[in-house]
Amino acid sequence: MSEPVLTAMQRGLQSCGACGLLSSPARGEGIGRCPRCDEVVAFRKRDSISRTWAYLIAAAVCYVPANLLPVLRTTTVGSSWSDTILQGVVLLWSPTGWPLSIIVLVASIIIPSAKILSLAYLLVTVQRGSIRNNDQRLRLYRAVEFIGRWSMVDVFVDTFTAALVQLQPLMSVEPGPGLVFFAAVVVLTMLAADSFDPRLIWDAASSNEVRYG
Amino acid sequence: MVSKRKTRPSLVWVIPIIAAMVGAWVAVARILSAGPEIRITMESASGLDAGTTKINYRGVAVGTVSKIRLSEDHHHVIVTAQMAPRTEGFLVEGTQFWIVRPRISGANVTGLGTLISGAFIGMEIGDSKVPKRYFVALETPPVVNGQIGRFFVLKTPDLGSLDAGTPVFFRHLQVGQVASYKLDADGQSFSLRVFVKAPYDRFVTSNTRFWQSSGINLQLTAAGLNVETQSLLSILIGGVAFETPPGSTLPPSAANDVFTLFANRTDAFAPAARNPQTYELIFNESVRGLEVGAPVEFRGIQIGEVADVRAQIDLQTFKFSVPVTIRLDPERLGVNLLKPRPGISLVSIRRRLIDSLVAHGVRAQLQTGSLLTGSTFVELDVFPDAPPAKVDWSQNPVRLPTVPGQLEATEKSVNRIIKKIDRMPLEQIGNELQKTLTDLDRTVVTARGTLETAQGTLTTAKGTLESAHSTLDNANSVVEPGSVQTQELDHALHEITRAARSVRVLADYLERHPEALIRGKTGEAK
Amino acid sequence: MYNQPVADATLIACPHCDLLQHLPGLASGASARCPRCDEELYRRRADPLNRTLALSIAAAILYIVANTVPMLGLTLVGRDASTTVMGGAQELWQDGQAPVALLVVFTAVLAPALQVGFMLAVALGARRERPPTWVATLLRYHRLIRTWSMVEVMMLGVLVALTKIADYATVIPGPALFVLGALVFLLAAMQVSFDPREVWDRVEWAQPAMRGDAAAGVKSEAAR
Repeated sequence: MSEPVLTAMQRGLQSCGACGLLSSPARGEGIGRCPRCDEVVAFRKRDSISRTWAYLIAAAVCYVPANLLPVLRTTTVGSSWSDTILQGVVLLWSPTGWPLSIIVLVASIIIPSAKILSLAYLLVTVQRGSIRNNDQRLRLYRAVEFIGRWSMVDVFVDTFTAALVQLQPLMSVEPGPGLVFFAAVVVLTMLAADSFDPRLIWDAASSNEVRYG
Repeated sequence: MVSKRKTRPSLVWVIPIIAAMVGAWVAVARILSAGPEIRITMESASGLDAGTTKINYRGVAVGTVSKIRLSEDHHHVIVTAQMAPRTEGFLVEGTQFWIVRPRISGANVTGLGTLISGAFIGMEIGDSKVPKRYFVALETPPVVNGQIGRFFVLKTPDLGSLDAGTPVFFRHLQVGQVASYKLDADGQSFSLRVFVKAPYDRFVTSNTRFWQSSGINLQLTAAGLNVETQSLLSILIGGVAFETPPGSTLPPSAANDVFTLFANRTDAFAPAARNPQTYELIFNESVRGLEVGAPVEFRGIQIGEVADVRAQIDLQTFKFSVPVTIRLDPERLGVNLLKPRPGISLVSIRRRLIDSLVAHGVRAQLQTGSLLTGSTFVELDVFPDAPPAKVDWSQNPVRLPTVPGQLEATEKSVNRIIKKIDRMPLEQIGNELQKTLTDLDRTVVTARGTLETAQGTLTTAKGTLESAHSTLDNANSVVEPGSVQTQELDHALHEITRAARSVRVLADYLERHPEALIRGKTGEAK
Repeated sequence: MYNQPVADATLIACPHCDLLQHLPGLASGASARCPRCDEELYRRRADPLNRTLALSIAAAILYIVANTVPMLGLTLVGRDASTTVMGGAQELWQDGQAPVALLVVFTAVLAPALQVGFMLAVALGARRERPPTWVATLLRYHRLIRTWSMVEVMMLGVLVALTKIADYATVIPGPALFVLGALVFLLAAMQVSFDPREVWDRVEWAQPAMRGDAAAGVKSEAAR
């Protein structure tokens, strides 16, 4: 390589997140507007680390009631009971229907916790200036971003189960208090993934490269 | 240079075309599958769900409730329903709608299935051809709907336990029910409208008798105890029964013909007295047990009835007497009064008949009808020893001669016996007895031997007595509580308790495992 | 304050690792990847505008159908119930779960509608030689909308709910269910068919004065 490997930021260029146009901000300014598509441009996503931490912590806080409070309340003739997410997973388990159980388990419990842990790990490594495993870390980020929306599955499952099973007095289903916390976890982790700037991962390496390149 | 020539439309345009077709097809299908829309006004929409509640006609869902809202004056509910396609012919004048919910009425509990399946709207199609789209719902389901049969009107002074829905029986088979009743304008009787379904309605002729068969009909009359019931159902909620006297070949009655509703079967089939004649009987004894309506019999055949029982004291002689007014139907004696010859009146023939009967010793006497009830009746019989009497036709009412009742006769004969005993030479008999006693002493020794054999006979007699005792006990057990009948009742009661218990167990189980209602008992996960 | 664009229009920064690089000319269907982090920088689409337009029209039609007819019905002991997509959100709202109801409406109804609508508008607007600035605005927001449009997630959720309910009741899939299934694929195809550079290269700039010849774009290079 004849040229040193450079990032746009090192060259003082800002990449527009919407249209991809590279442009240089006015002298001394950190933020500008893209001349092509009028979007606000900056070197990195605004307050990426602190915002991501904020979303993550909020998501972790909501994760507790999301799993402790029931998400569905079923009422039949003479009795009613409530189920949390975990109880729902257990109830879905049957010799023939176990894929459903797995889907809900993965989507509602594994994915959200994995997201929170992964993003926390990415944040910590970025903040410590780690230069190792950049590829894997970036891949981890892409996985988090892609998988995120699928945690919403359980929200839809509960919504349509409640919407459909309204056959009083035989049987009726209502969403429980845990559902809003669970929805909050999904939304907050999606916002956290969105606010995290993946370029931060390579930034530490890039500055090193320049230093030594 | 990029040549921006317009290529032919690429295949990708097939996709939106398919999408448009799908959309159009779905839209058209929905429009076509929509039938007419109707509006039903009702008092309350409780149990109805917009979008879910169905309209059922003979068990087939022919419409769905789409909207429920209050009327403008807030006193009614307007239910909009979407009917199935091709139901325009159903929606005419006379078509009725009603809500089917669990309902307990006089005769039955209906609509229990709706507890599980949800309330629905029942429907009956009218006969007219005039189309109609706005209806008012009936508040209660029509008692008879869609059945073929005929309505008849019954008149009764006393409603008893009858109500809309009370069953109508023919030979113990339920063939219809009471549809409605109302008090007549004069307030003296009720008009019941009963429905008898085909093909039993053709058994109703102008000669048919209707009677109330409510509950168990217990009649304690002079004839004894009469128990009559139609069915277990009628014991609980009453019933109306009808029957036609045999031998009548009259055509079936027309709809809405009027019949009298009798209080019981006996009354219904009591032959009508065509020409009752009133007479008076004077009794000088106690008439305890003689009721108005008690029969007047001749040798066991009822020929009349007691109309009135009074007490009368002659203030001058202080003698009391009991004039009993009776109504006789002499034609029941079987005397066929043929067409009288001209010149001889019916009355004179009757008088001559009674005169000759009296001359032959026919008298009226009080007799105990049933030892069980202590009721008395009047018996006309031939008493050859009776003092001669003559009927005075000038009195009003005419008096017929009587003889004293059995009790009085027994009294007189007892008196006679006592007098006889009085006249007996008892002293002489005493002396003779003394002499015979000494003779007896000697015979005692020889008699002792005979006594031993007598002992043996006594033991066997005791044995017989014991077995007689046991037979009596058996007989007792038949009559006593513990008899077969009461045992069966007991048994039935036990069954009911057992059934109630198992229902309770089931309810308990359901309480603990409510999902069992839908999923079956645990262990049957699909 | 508007930034100053670079002169070389082929210069771009990788969105994931910020590496500066030149985007080569690409044949139809070919893609360029970042050498450092392997992120796909750009894939040239075939016949982008027509395809996108066709697919977005189809998606719009199916979307309308999917939301007007019932999606699921069930029968249990003679009781019937059915629901549309909005019906699900309504039930949530009635049960006091207003935030979740709004979220469901947004992700299942509103965002997909905007996704299709914006795409349709952009596809139409981009047919002009110089697409006007509102096209750029719509395209800007489209990215955000795309993140929150979750029709495919809803489909999976509905299928799971369906299977759960089928254990004890007879489930009747409504026409909307199949239409929604098709819509999932249509939306994916629509996204894939779209070439953003088609629009960005030709669109009217927010600051037209700054537009240089650099805006000639990559495509003209590749066509040579």
